[in-house]
This record gives sequence, structure tokens and C-alpha cells, in this order.
Amino acid sequence: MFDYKLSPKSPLDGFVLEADGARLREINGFALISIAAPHQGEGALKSVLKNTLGIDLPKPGFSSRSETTPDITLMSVGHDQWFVRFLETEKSSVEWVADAVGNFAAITDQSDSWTQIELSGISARMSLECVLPVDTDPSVFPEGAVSRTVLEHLGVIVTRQPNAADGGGYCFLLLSPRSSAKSFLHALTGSPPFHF
Amino acid sequence: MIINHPLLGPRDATEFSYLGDASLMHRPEWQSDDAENQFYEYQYLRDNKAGIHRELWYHEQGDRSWLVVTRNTLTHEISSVELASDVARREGRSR
Repeated sequence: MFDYKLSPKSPLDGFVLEADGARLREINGFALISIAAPHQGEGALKSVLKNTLGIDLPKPGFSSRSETTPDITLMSVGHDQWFVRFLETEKSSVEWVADAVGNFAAITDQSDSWTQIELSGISARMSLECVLPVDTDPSVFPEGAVSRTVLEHLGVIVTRQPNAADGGGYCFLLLSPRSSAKSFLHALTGSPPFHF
Repeated sequence: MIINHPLLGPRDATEFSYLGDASLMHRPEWQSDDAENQFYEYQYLRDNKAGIHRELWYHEQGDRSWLVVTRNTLTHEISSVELASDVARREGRSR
């Protein structure tokens, strides 16, 4: 009998690529859990989340951050459905969210089902313009905006993160299914400024 | 073609899939006396309009909502986009 020791593997092996004015970076260590409210249960869920996680239910197309616990984001991804994203630690895990929502929502742990990629830099928007059918102009896609759409026919959830503190330009977080992570990366690296 | 989603704003038509006439929202009562005839009409009979047409679109690659889009089949001009759930309630459904 062999004594196997298993270690987790990230979808893109910690991929990083820098080009003129933009950087692609795989993000790991963040949990992603879907929360779905039962029919007409949005009001109850709203007050429960406010009390337990200190977070407001965002309106469609937006995300919200926790007032009490830093680094928790709640993203609106569909009708009566949200994704909660936070840095996974010993204290914060699926059970933590399950306890927080109680019987007021159905939750699914999707942490290992998605690849999380950060696209940042002064040319980040130009890069997305070539592949994304959504307008990312700051006037319609401000910080915290969320859009569930397609990128080269692959499903994606895009959120605009706070700009880099050093004036390094825009920062976007892209979530796409793990099973097609490499094709997704191929689409991103095939657009400027990574490839001309 | 751009569909102006009532919650999310203008979105590209490639994110949506098309189902058909908005009358499909109103499935006949299967226990009524003339259910057979009603289902025949529901399933097979459609007006083939040249002009204003109400149709169901599904935001499959987006927020998974069903929409009722009012579109002119001659010009493709879209005059109204509503959530199908709102339309259903307005037309007498409980949810």
C-alpha cells in the first residue's frame, strides 16, 4: 500500500505575465461561495447578512464590501444569487458562511471550480476591449461593478477592483470556470498588449 | 444587436438566447375540459407578424433572467425590454 500525499494544484499553476502597461496574474487562496435566496426570501437574507458579516446585498451589476470584516466581497451574479469571495484562512471557510446565512439561503462552495485572474495596469482596459462585449469605461463600470458575460465565448464574471495605489492604472478581477481555464488564458494572452 | 437589460443596462445579443413568442409564458391549465385543444394551440399556433412582436429572451451568458422583448420584426427596432417575471405578474400570475 502506497502512502500518497496529495497537494492542491491551482488551475493555472500560478501564472504571471507582464507586458507594456498590463499584468496578468493568477490569484489563489480566495474562497468563492454562491449564495441563493429562496423565493421572496431576499429581505430576510439581507438583514441576516448585515448582522452576521456586516455586508449589504449589492444591487444588480455591483458588489459590496463588508464593513466589519475586511476582504469579504459579495458580488451580484444573477437574480437572487450572489457570490461571496474572501481570503481563506483557518477561521474563514465554507462553514463560516454556512453559519452566517443559516436557513435563509442555499450555499454552494465553488472555490475550486473557478480560476481567478487579475488583470491590471494602464493598458488593462485596452486589453479587455478586444475580447469583452461589455463597456468597461469608468463612467459605466466604476469600482465595485460586476458583470457576468462572455469572453471569447467562455463564461466570465468581471469585477472592477480598486486601482493600484501606485497609480498603476485599472485593476480587474476575472473569474472563469476552471475546466476551460487554459483556453480562457489563451484568449487573454492573445489580446494586446500581451500579443500583437 | 444590443438588448437594453432592465437591470444591467445595454448588453450584446450574443449573451442571450431566443425562445420565441411571449405567449409561451402562459401555459394552459392541464386539468381544464378542453386542455387538449388549448395545448394544441399553445404548442403549434403562432401569429407570424410583420411588425411589433413580443418575444422571450433568456440571458443565458449573463444573469440568467428571462426577458420579454418587444421588437419590430421589419426593422429590428426594440421598443421595450421587461423582466418576464414582472410581465407575468402584471398579466395575472401570482409569481
